[in-house]
Amino acid sequence: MVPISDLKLIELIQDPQTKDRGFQLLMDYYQQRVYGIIRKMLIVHEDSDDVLQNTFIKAFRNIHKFNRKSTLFTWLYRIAVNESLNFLESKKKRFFFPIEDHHEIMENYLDKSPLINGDEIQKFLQKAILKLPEKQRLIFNLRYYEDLNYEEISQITDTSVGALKASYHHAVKKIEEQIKSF
Amino acid sequence: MKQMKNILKDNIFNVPEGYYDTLAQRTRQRKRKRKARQLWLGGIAAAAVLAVGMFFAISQETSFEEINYQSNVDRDIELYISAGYWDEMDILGMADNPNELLDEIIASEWDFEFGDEQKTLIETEIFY
Repeated sequence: MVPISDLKLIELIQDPQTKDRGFQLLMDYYQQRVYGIIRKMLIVHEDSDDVLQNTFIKAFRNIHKFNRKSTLFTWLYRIAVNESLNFLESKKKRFFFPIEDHHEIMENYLDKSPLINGDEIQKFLQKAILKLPEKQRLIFNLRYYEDLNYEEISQITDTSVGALKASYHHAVKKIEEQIKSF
Repeated sequence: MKQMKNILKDNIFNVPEGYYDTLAQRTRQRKRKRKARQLWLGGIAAAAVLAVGMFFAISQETSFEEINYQSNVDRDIELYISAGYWDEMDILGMADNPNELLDEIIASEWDFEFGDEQKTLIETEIFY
């Protein structure tokens, strides 16, 4: 795939003649990474697929609002993160089932789905991460798995670097505690 | 004792085969479906607005007709009176509430006379 700048990609999407090609390129470039962060939050592939598609539709429709202060990738991550958190929030309210039920679904998915291929300790780590509060889980995933620096996470989550550092270290401590019992 | 740093960071989340190959196409289809649904909902909303508007227009028309009917009756009565066909006694005789009508007429007459008198008094005070 030939690298293309954010600016060029936006130009392609905003031009009615090339918008389909621009959309295709936007997805080709970012779909796997954006899917990765969504999947780590939602665990279930079908849910992640749903949220991923919504993320790109939203991005495509709101591309004119992209202020170019951050990278296109950071902006996409931000939409993906919001969509993921909204999805989890909707699960809390839907049909009056409590969030614990959805946690159970995600935990069971880690054990039983053919779309999970880690060893036991890796699955145990995922379950430990699942026990964190949602935003802390998000920060942990962005820092630990996505290797994003605190500045980038700050842009994505609209949270100060200090608060992010504290949250991450707290999350690591809680996870380490759980891993000791494995 | 297990530690986090000893656990592999490998991605354990798999996707169905060929998932990314069709993703863009499926997303475009979903986008189109949503747009169609939005247009459909927009059409429904416009139809609803039109229906409500027509309902109000018809209601309004009905009340205009009532007003017109009433004004026609008033005009006919005035014609009968001005032609000398009916006089005040005829009108009072045909009214449901002749006493109240008489009271109203007297009251308005008195008001008028009093108002006029008061005006004259004020004018007098100013000029003299």
